[in-house]
Amino acid sequence: MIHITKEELLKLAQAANLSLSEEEIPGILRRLEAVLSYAAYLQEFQDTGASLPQISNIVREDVAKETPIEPLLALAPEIEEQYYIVPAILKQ
Amino acid sequence: MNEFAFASIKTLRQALDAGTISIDELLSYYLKRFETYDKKLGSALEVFDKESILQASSLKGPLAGIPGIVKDNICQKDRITSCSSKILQNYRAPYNATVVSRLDEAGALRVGRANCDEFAMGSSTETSAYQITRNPWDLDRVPGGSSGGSIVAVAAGLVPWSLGSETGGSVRQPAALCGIVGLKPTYGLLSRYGLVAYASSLDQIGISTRYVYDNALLLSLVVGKDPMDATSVSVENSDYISNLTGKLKEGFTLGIIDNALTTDGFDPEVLKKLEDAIKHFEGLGAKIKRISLPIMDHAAAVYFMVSRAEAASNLARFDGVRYGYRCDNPTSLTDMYTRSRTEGFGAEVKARILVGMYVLSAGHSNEYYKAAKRVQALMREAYYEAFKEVDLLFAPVSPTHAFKLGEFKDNSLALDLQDYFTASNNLTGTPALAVPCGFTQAGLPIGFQLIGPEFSEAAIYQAAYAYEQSTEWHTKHPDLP
Repeated sequence: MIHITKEELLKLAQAANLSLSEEEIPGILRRLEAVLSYAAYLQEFQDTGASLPQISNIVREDVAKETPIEPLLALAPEIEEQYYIVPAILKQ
Repeated sequence: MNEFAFASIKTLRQALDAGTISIDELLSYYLKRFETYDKKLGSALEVFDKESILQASSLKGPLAGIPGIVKDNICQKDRITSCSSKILQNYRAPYNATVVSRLDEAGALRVGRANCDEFAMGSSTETSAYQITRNPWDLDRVPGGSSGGSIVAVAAGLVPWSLGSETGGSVRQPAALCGIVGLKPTYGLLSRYGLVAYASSLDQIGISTRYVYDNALLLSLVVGKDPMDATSVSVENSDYISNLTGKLKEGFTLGIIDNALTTDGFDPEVLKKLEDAIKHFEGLGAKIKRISLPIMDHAAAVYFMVSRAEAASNLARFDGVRYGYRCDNPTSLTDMYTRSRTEGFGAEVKARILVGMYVLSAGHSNEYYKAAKRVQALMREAYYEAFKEVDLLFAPVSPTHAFKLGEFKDNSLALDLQDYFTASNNLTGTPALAVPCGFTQAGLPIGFQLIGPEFSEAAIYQAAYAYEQSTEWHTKHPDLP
């Protein structure tokens, strides 16, 4: 059985920009431990000589295309002219 | 009029062409069915108004006037595309998915958007932020998922076709649990442009219909290279119809994945119907070859690792900046990211992102993610070798029939394992079709799947059609309350 500490979980959550309430932590820990324990045996395949899947890049010409930006800007929660507004990044 | 409820697209086409019914009348008829039945079923998140439905279509082509519904994670221009998530509750797609555009050009009518598990993450359609969807054969049971709404609308005769999406079995499993036909195409056969990404290397748009012919017809109208999706491929032959003779191919060999049928925890009634279907194929002249593909027993474990890893990466884009939900009064940029995501995503999505973060994190990626990718490569090889000996493979879709709503609420792993028999095709890029093969004594549908090598959809349809036309399962429909 894989064991994950609360601290490990909170670190993952922080990296994923999620916050977890005290009440939901035990349930999420149980879920993570269940799925990771189920899949933990896969590490036996690490040293079997099996290779990673072959992948190749697909390339195309880099051609600039004019696309109206208004419909995209209209989806934003907050804009000013053609800029997205977010909370200040630097302190005043 | 009621003869149209469960009519095939072929029959509807003839009726429309003969003038027995007009496009307007047929559309009104189906919209009325949504009004009458969908309050209980919950298949649609939204049904559009008649005028705008007609406006979006070319109304010309093989599907002229044939209504269908689209899963809520596939973009329909100017319509909400929420992925059944709060984080996209007000997101209006600024463009059509390529597959949607192709259906519009073929004359099809899109009547609405179908409920699904949030971001297509689930096997029961219970993780939608908006509503549950019920199985039309038993309203206390789930339809399966994640494309539950798309499948139920078709199974209940509210429309003759729908689009869903597949990452680990999300079209085939609900199709089997609701007694209809569901295709997971070869990776790259359909453009993913406009399909909201869950796990990009596995995702494909899938097609569900009540009949094999209809499924083949729809596929032939949406395949092909799309400059907007670099992983899409061009196909030389998009004719999936002329093979549908009702006969199997000369010398047809069907491989049975024997280890799948001897898996622990199989429902005996489901197993019996699968064995009956194998015998039926034998009766149709198929040579049956039982083979063992033990590597496929790892499909669920590999799928959990690969899909969660890609989900964690794909869903990082939802940050409250450019579109989607933004929290009230953020105090800092990080506070805005974190609260928007925390308030916008549901529990299932958060859990999958966190699993993905774990398996990609330093110190764990070798033992989980990379190990899973190695097994994925072995699975590809195993299928490749198997198809040297057999034309197609026969496998279960789900080890169970439709289960009760809420049955797995305290056992998420058991629910996740609904993908056990289906995920191998997403992981290997191979096509597979779920086909109905009977009912339990309590009247719940059961299905099998036919799996083929890449781009063998025509061969799969041929065998499925021969089975369908020589059995009666496709003539059974649920009695709606």
